[in-house]
Amino acid sequence: MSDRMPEAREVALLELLDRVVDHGVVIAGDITISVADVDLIYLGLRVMLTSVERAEELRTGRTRREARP
Amino acid sequence: MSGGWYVYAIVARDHALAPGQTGFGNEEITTVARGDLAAVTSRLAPRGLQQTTENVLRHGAIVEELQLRGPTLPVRFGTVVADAETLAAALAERHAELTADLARLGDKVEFGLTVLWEQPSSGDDSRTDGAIDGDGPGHGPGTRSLRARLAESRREAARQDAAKSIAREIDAALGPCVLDRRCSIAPTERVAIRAAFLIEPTQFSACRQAIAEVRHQRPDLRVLVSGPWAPYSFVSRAPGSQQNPLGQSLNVIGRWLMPP
Repeated sequence: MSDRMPEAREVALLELLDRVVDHGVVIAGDITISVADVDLIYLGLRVMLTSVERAEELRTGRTRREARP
Repeated sequence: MSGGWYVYAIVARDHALAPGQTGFGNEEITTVARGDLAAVTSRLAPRGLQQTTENVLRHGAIVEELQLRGPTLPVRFGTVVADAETLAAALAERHAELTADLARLGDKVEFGLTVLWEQPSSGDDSRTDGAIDGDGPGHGPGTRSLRARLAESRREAARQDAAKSIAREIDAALGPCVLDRRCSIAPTERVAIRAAFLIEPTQFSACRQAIAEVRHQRPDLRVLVSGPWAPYSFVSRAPGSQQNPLGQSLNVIGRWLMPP
């Protein structure tokens, strides 16, 4: 496991990203994040954390899990 | 993304901004006030904001800077309103709720906690209760399927119970330092706990120490702490607001750290 351990800095970075994008005050009206925009952030996360292939595998895995009844 | 006014945070009307602070596109950061509240904002040119990791971090850094100067409610990344009048109207619409949130959360911080665990190999225990393969009554594909589902259900219940037990251990360790918490129990196979804890800024060191003790007592777990952050996770949800698809991104970390 240790050889896959990311730097603590990267974990903290993703924690912050998670909060800034998904939490906080929502002002009524003109929220502009779209699914396509969020995909761009996913792209950044892929580059930051792991290879594109691995990230895609993880995302696919999550989708499967969420789809399970 | 179209132009308008990009919103970073909600503060008290008399909150002092850092001199010369700029936001996206190097535009000056200013406030739009309504009553005793103000929205911290800067002009945004059409297509002036790319949804990149760097810009998300910039948003977070601006909120942190504001928090150093007084109580601050962080606004979610990507919030743009058409003009100052619209922004003032938005403040008025949720004035009571935002005022209460600012008083409750403005001078607090949160820290994140992710507990990763190694789950025992699930194996194929679908043949429980003396199940025997065969073609006779009670041994057909339908029965096997039902038994497999029952076994899966039991495994999931045991997993939830074990994760709840860990959550209780953490709560006991943190004790009265914690003002509030948001906790997700066993959200994925690799993650036992995903939580955010609201605390006074001065309590962060004590909380880290408490978590270090949990790590010492439970070497079978990997306990990750992050923060302190502005209290993003504790603001009141606006009616009808939706969770972003990125919301479970940290679950990715769990699967990455402890691959099958």
